[in-house]
Amino acid sequence: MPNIKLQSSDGETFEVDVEIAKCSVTIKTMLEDLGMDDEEEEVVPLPNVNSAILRKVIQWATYHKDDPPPPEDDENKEKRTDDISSWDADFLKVDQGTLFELILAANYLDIKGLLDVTCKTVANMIKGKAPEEIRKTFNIKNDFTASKKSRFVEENEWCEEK
Amino acid sequence: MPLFKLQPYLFYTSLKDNKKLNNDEIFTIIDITYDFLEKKKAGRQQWIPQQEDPTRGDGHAHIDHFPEHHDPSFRHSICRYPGSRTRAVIPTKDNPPPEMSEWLMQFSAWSNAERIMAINELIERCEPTQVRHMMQVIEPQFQRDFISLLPKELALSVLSFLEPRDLLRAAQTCRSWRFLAEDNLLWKEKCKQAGIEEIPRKRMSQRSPGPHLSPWKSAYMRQHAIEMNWRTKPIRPPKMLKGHDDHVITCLQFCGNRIVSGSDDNTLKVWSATTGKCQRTLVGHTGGVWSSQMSGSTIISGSTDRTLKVWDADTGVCLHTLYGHTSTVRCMHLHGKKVVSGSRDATLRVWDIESGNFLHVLVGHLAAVRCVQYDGRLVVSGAYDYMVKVWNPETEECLHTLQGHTNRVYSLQVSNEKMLQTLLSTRVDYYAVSGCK
Repeated sequence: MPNIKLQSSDGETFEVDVEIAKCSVTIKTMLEDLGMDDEEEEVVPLPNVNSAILRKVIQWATYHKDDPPPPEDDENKEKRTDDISSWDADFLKVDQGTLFELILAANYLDIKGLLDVTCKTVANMIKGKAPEEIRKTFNIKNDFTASKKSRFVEENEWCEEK
Repeated sequence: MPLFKLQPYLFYTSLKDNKKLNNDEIFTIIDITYDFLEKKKAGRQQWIPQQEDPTRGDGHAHIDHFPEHHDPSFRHSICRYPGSRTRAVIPTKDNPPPEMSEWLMQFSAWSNAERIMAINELIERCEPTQVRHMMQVIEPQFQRDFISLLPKELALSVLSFLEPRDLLRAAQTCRSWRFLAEDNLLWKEKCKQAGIEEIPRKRMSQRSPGPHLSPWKSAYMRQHAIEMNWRTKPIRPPKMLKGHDDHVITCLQFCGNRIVSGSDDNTLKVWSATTGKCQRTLVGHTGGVWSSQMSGSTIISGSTDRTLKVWDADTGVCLHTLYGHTSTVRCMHLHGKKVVSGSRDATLRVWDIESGNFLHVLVGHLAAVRCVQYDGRLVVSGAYDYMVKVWNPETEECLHTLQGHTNRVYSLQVSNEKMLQTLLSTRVDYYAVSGCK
């Protein structure tokens, strides 16, 4: 299996199986567009991803290398968040800062599976929480004016029902 | 080792403002903090006395080593100075302990490995309350306000995984969350999932423009409110519409917020469904009104005076009087701009309500026509001759006569053309949808 070298923003180089690297559509397109020869000892610079995050991304891609390609359109797909595999759940037991950077990296590298599962993880952190709990979870300051708060009464009633 | 001369408290309060710490160092502090708390819980922690302070007695500040947790002055971070001077001052930013800047400068000068080692040692020396404080200072550094900080499309992608209830709560956390959680396309998707296909038209008597930016969110909330009303709202007392005195109300139609009642007092009354007030009385028939139809603001009435009248509900003006029937107009059905009327004269007539023109007459029943349906293509009628007839109004011919009822046909329903055609093939099915008396 041919390898490819990926270089993180802080200069660390990772040697990765080309097939694994290609789960990133960004890298795949780059390789195809540039017609990079597998033989060449080319290094792909990834200026938007630091080494800690790139290491995680490669770890994820390696585990998921045999996954079927993600479906093209999920327009009508049900938006579920309870279908995260236990491996992914474990993999994403990281601090919020790391999760945040993983989302940005998955977006930049265009890895749909990773982007999906990271977004779902954040959604799960929001689910079922009251506004105050959400603020506490993400260290958010309540910047609403008092008059605006009173408007929420109606929506609060909505939340209590059902 | 100036670092250890000072109380750890001073060190970690300064962490808060010290932006020079890198991630590794903060991680280390958290790791050690957890470790420490664990040990503390297990009761295994030890206060290892540090090497004797070499500066003691030579005029430099001196801190007692701190195994005396029972000493309350320690908890309050009171620095003790040698000799008789005991400074009981709580340090503040403006009044830091004199040695602190030196201490911090030393820390800044160290390499990463040295810093980490110093932090390890420092935490070892902390009381649980201090370590907990340290955690409170550090933890927020690892929190991320994903929704506000991510690019908009990614934040929306996160929000798209939330159910409406969670979206509403998310919208209440802060302004930037609210802005995104009000996204119209987001709610369009939620509406789609809930089977709401379109935004309801702005109703005429809308009280306020609504608090929501997103029309789709408003549509969703409206639908939900309606559902909840059905499920939980107590039933309101009925609104009584009083009119027509002691006369019989013979027919009723409603459209939007308007109700039209017809009576054998020769009039029709237009009511507001929201206020329950009678808006106007349509006067003109010279006999009792026995049938009516309405669409938008157009009302059509049929009377024992053998005429149909077309009214404008907004103005109460009679637009057309349709002459032709030779007896009471007992039933009618409107479709588009054409109305089909059935009469006690045993005929049906097709009219254009815009021009007021008579278009067709359907002759074939042997007794009074009691009920009629018109789908724009076919006319189905039921009469006192026990028969149901299907007509092509354009050619004025009777396509089918459905016999079998053993008494007068008082009502019939046609659900749609396709059903009509399949129903026509078997009479029994047809009976299922036609009332027989």
